[in-house]
Amino acid sequence: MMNALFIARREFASFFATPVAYVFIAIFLMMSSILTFFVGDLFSRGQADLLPFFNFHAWLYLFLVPAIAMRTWAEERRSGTIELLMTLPVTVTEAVVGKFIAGWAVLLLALMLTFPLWLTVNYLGHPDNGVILAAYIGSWLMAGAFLAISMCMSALTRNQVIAFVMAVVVCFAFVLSGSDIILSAFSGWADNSVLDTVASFSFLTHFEAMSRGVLALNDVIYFILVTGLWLYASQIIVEQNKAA
Amino acid sequence: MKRFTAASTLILIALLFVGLVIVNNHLFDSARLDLTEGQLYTLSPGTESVIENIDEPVKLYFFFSDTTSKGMTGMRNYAERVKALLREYEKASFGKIKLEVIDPKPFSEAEDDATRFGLTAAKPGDGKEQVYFGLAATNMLDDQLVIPFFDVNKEQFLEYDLSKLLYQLSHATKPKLAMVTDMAVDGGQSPVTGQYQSSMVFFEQLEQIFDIDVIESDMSSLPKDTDVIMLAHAQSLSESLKYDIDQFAMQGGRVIVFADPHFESDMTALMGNRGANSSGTGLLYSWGIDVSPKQVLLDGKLGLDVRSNAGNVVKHPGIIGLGSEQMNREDVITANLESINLSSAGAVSLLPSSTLDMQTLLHSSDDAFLVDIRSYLPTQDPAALQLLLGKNGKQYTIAGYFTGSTVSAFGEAPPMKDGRHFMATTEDLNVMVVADADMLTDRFWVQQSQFFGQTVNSPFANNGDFVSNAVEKMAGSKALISIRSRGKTTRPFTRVETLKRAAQKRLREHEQQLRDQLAATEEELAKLQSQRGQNGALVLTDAQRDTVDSYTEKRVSIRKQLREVQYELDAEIDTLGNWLKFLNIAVAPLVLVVVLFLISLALKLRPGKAYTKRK
Repeated sequence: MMNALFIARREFASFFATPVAYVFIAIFLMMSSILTFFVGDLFSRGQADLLPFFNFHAWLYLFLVPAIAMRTWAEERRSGTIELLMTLPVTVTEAVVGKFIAGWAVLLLALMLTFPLWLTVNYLGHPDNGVILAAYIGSWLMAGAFLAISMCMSALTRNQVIAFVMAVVVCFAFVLSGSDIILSAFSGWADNSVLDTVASFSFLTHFEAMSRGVLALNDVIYFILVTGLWLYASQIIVEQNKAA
Repeated sequence: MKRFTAASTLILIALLFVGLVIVNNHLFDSARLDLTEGQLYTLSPGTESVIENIDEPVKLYFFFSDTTSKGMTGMRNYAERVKALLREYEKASFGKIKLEVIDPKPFSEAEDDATRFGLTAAKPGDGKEQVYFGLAATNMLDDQLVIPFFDVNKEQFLEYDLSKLLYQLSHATKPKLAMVTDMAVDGGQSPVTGQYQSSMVFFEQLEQIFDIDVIESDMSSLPKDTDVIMLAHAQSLSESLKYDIDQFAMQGGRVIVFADPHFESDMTALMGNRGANSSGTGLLYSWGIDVSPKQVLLDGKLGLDVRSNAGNVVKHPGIIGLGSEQMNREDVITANLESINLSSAGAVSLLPSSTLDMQTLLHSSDDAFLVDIRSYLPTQDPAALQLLLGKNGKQYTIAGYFTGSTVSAFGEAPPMKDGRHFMATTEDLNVMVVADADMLTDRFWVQQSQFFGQTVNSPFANNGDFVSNAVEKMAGSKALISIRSRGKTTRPFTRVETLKRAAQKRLREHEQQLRDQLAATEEELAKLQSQRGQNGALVLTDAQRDTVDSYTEKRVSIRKQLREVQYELDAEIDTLGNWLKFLNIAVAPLVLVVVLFLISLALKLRPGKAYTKRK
């Protein structure tokens, strides 16, 4: 697994060699603050918590994570560096995991840099910092799931734009399955247990509980499952491409 | 072929995913880490035991007007909390509790249901639709209980209230209260005046919730299946009754005692005997609880105003009014009460040898004294009582809750009793003691008036609530009593509130001046404009017309200034908000990204480095 860490380090550094990571982090920070203050009304609602901030995370990730993940494999395939990568003494699994860790670390960095908002609510009142910690952990887990899906989509094609669009569509399905729009389509004929099952596939359902301060084992396992299985799928796809 | 295997593996992964998610939902439901400060979403052991003891399936209908409560952040947050906690109940019940969340939209069937259950609709005003936020619970026997509206101010007792509801639903019969008393609680003919008296108001209130047996202190035994015993100024218990009460307490039964060093409200006792009219405290003493039977508590700070013999109003240090600062805010009995009136109360404490624990419910101010009842009784004049107050007072407990291990008042069962079940000690005493009985009488807390032939009681103190809360809490199961109060979810911006208060203070004076000026101007104007000539028409000279005009102008300018004051009030807060927005949206991201860039330069973060370093 050491190889995976080396790849992760290399990939992480390559994010910062080009403006990609800076642009991503700047957009993430600005957009999250704008949504928190103007759409979520953090200041005028007068409550010392970060709910208006975390409520928008799924929607932010929906566009931003596919954007940083789209080049992961598509770029390697287009430029042919994938052949080079595959001649190195690393397995496909190590390459997949390494690239994932690098992307996830960038997302963690972006999340950590939102600390001014945390300072803001602590300045304004006395928030429950346990809740905020749980929400941060939940948000990072959810970001990992978005990333795994987006990387898998990137492995499917050599065109970054197609990778981006496909990733947004698939992630959207995962976000939407818990929303009222989809659930109301089922609620006419299905009973509650079916509804709950459909909703349990949604990122929103699982993240919502964590953003209230409760880390439930099944919510954590859900995100690990999504991440793990999509990474496994990426590995199969990359393996397949290599063979082709 | 290989492509086919890959595709089929992917399909298998998809199926595996669906299966694992469903298994995960059902299997790992219970393990959780509650990171909230007050463990808001973790049920206490007391609640778990209440849920365990539910026999019949229960349906909970949680009504919250999600649609019509837009913008009411505080209430919506609280509703989320209630909903999440109810889900915890549902989860912990293994199918015995079914929760249904309903949004009663205006003019919907659900709204009719809410009304039929008897929920209260709040009207937020400004032409907004009404908001429902309550709970109805039903069981298979069609018993029905509701919480008409969840009050944010009672949030710390949310779990207690929900568990109580479930407990009451599964114990449909009224709890049995044995009231041992020498007072005429249920009315009857007065031996002094010969008139018929109605029952005491606290007794009427208790009768609505409990099945009460009134027992005079010379009777010989307790009724069967008693849930709670209340000793309300019981003077001398018969030996047999005393044994029954002692054994009831030894077996973990719950007892509430109102023991008074001097019960002055009993006219008959006072007529025959000018001495102190005190309650019996022998049982308490042998359990290890001291109720100062020969001393009365005088409070230098909390005395209520009474009319003296000379006709002037003076503070009476023996007739005291406790405020919320003198009550235990953590206990469900006293947490939401505002005032309790007492008269010639005593103090409760543990005897030095006692092995019990005492939890204070009511206490005096820090300037209280215990004086001998023999010097208190002959002093009629409140002013003279002031002289009995010493220099350095201290705080005394007036009502307390005693738990723990103690010994029986009896060495063995008396001859007339069956001693087979005699218990000489207990590990689990549950006794609440209030060192005053006058507080139960109507005149200290409720005003009665006649309204179209109906007697209307208007309480001016919370004495009645105190008694019903106490009996209600004690009648609940032990599990229910153990549920402690929890933290709150509402966390306002304290800094903004401080700013608001400071600005208000600064501007209020200015505003008052302007309002006074405005009132004066308007009065002048009205006076001028009402001057009419003989034919009734408004007659004004040019000079007067000028004055009217100038006053009108002045009025406009004062109103404008008033609006500015109002605007200034919000301006400071708006400025703070704008600064925070600017810092968070523009400054912080730019600064952080630049810092990040500098760090990466300093670390010379290059993709190739990982490989070169490997050697």
